[in-house]
Amino acid sequence: MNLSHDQKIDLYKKMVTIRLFEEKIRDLYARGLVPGLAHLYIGEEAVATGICANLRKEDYITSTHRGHGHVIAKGAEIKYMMAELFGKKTGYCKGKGGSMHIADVDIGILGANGIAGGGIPIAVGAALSSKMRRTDQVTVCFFGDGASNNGTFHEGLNFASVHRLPVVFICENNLYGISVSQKQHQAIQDISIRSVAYNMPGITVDGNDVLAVYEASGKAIQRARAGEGPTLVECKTYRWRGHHEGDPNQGRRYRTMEEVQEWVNKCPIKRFEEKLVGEKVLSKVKIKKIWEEIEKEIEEAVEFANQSHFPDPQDIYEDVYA
Amino acid sequence: MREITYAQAINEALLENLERDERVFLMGEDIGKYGGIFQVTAGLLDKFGPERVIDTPISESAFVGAAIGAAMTGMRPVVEVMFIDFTTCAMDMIVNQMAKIHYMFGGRGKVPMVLRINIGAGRGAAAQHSQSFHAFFMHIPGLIVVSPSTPYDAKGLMNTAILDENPVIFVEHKKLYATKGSVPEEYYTLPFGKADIKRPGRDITIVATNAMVGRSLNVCEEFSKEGIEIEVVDPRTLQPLDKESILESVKKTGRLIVADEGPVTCGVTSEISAMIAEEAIQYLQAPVLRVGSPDTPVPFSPPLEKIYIPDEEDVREAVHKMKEYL
Amino acid sequence: MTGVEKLEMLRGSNFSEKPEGIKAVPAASRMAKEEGIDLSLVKGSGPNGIILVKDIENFKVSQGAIEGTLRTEEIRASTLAKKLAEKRSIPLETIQGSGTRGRIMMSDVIKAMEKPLPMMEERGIFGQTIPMTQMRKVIAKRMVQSAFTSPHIYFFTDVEMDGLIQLREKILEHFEKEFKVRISVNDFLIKAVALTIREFPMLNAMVKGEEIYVMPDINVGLAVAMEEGLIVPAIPQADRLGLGRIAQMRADLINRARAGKLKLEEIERGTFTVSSLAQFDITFFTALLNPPQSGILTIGKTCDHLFLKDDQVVVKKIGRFGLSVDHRIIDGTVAAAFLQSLKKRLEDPTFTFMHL
Repeated sequence: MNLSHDQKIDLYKKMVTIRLFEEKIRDLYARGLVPGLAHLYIGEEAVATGICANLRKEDYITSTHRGHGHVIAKGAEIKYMMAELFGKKTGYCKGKGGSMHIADVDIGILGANGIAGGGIPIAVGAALSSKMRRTDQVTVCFFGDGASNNGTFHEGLNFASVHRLPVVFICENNLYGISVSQKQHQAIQDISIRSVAYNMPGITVDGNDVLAVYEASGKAIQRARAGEGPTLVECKTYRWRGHHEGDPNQGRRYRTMEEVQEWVNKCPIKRFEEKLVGEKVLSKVKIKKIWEEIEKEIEEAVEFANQSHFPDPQDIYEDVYA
Repeated sequence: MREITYAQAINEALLENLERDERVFLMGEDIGKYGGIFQVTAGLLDKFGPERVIDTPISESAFVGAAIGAAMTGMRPVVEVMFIDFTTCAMDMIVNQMAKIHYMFGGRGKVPMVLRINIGAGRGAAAQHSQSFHAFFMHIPGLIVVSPSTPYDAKGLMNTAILDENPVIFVEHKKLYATKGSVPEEYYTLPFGKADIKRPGRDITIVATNAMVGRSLNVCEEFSKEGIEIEVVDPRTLQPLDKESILESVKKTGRLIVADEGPVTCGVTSEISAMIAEEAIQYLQAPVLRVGSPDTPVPFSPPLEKIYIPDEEDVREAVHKMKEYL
Repeated sequence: MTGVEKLEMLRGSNFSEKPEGIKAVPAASRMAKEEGIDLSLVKGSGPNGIILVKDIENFKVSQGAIEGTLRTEEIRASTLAKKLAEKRSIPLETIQGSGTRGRIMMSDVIKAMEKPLPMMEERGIFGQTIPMTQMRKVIAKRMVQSAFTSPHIYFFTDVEMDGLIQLREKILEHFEKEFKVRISVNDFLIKAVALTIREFPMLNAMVKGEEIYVMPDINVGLAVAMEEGLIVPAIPQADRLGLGRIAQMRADLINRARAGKLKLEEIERGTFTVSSLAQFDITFFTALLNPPQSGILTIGKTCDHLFLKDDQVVVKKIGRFGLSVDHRIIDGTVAAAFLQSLKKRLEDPTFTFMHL
């Protein structure tokens, strides 16, 4: 896996972008400036970043309700994301979808999904299609530990395996399905072992180590692209904030603050930063500059969203049908 | 009488039933530790323990199906599906199993369970978390469909639902959970198939369901000042539907507005309108007007969502149109 | 956007459209059917004129006022009947006709002769207190309203009717062939009045508080006496209609008044009234205005009068016309000028009725 310095810096920048974007949403939401629901990805940045760094523009992803990280990593423009979250006409979905349904099929984002496991069959379908069209496009399917108990997970993996489809199943195991801990919702600890039931490779990886994620998913993606079929990659990670903005005390009802702190200490960005500083890829000055630049980008995105208009009343009927 | 919220009223009903009947148990996502996404089951895990208040995995088919099996074999489950939108993940269980077992088995098998769901937009939850397609369930024979509009009705109807031998779809509303009303402390039941005249009148009938009841009542006062008395009929249960009360009201006023939050096409409002057209057309002094949501998915953007929701303003405008026939 | 606009946009609603051919809301249709009411006579007050239940109810009230036996200006009787009745001094009005459309036949006169005199029968009514019919109540109310709201002033003039009568004779046969109706003197009068009103718009006005509303069309009503009371159907836009049309409408309105089939609108649209007692030996008379109108023309019997002309004695047929007006808006000079103009038109009929 030899990543150039620039590639590593790109990974770092990507994670910072996700982090700052989510923090901005957190702040705006707290001030009542963003409507609807927000499910933040803070703490999980390495997963989306590491995986999508292996993807081309024409590869596909399906995402989840906690999808900002995935779509940013896949190449979505933050100003259109911001506008969508604000419910403005200029957003990715013309304001009609909101946070949980951001999509841009042109860059392979087949949508964030509000239904747990809802994206799995869709990802399988995209993989089926690229196989039929004989392209070497790969589909990456994100879902959580909670969704791994849903019928769609089992049906999807089974279907993909029997048809040897070019799909990589990424299970972001953040140890909770809303308030229900993994221990309470399934009898296993490593979800990757379920791959055996579907005769596909299953790997578990430290989701907070962006390079590890990059490498493991890279292999899986290669497999898929080479026509060797699907893989299940489990990334162990953790969400720092509650299930949604508004989850009392960041999930205090069902988890301890000690547990949260444990994972904050394993911050993916900090870890990677320390590594890159150690390798002299980054300097404190450069780091500061990167953060400032990205902050500025995000401010511009907010400005763009603020300046944009809401949809007109008659737009409510637009796009019900093509 | 003390006033409690709609959510508390249901909580009380569940609590009491868990106490008095050991066959009753609860299942659903995040109903235990979290207390339910809208806090309807708050405190019940602590009181009754994890064997009777079960936090399920995200597996609607599995736990709704499990409830069916449990009900068939002597238990009385009360299952929560977090939003009506997620019932689609368990549709086979609901439509092909729950609703049909009693009939298909010639009466030799029954499913005495309650499936709690909530409808309604207005919280920016977007297309997959804000729908109101409870009319689907009205359309499936074998299911009872209950839709209370007040805390008082909610508690009484929940008690009846748990006693009932049939599968009951209990339709709550996100925006009603915090509304308050007078609720007796003691145990009481309310009959299915019996509407409640929330407000008597003689000029216009509004048959309203669920959250539309409150919205309709809110506009009655201003029209009363003009000398127009609106009668608000709350069916309370959609299946069985209290046709007699609706017909009686329409025969009295001759003018009908039907209000339900679901999309207008093939909705609850359509069924009631058709019923009137069949059985009471000679009494109509005006066309029937339906108030509901437009035939689109629920949009996210706040101004569009506001337009989407059939609110007081929509009811008011419907009454204004009806005035031309007074 | 307003709620209505939203509703319209979202629902593509055509709630207020009245589909072709639908006259009434279902409850009103049922009511009309049950009570044998012809919906085509009912005026609808709902959107786009759809008939509502209350319109049926209103119609029933007003229809009660219109019903009643009709006493026309012309008593229809056979020649023999007329001769016998005259001989026996029995007023034709008191005889019930058994012929077609109430025509009085000789047998009816004979029967009447055998009956005790009507006034003897009606003796029974003396000392009785009888309730007013709906129509009588309405008339009483309106007469009071008229008398005590509008200060009346009265004007009279003698009109030489010879020219008009001759003209009528001349065109009678041809007219009947063409228009299927016998032209009457009243037809000429209606037309002449309408043309004169054009010159004097105040005679077509009504008082509205402190404003005067000049009604847009000149709809001349002809008072028709019925047993129940007076009824005044109006010829619409009489100034613009040809005599043929006026005659036809006049005949139709009177027939339907007799049959109790007038529409309320046909009465309500009147803007000026013409009232004739020419069939009685009334030289002239005063009349109360028909509210909310401001003018009413009365016509007494046309009689032969003797005049000196160039030292010669000549006979002229004179009709004595009266005009009552509302003094709030019509002064003496206007009324006088109106009457003078009308007289001139009637005395120079050829010119007048060539006008159109």
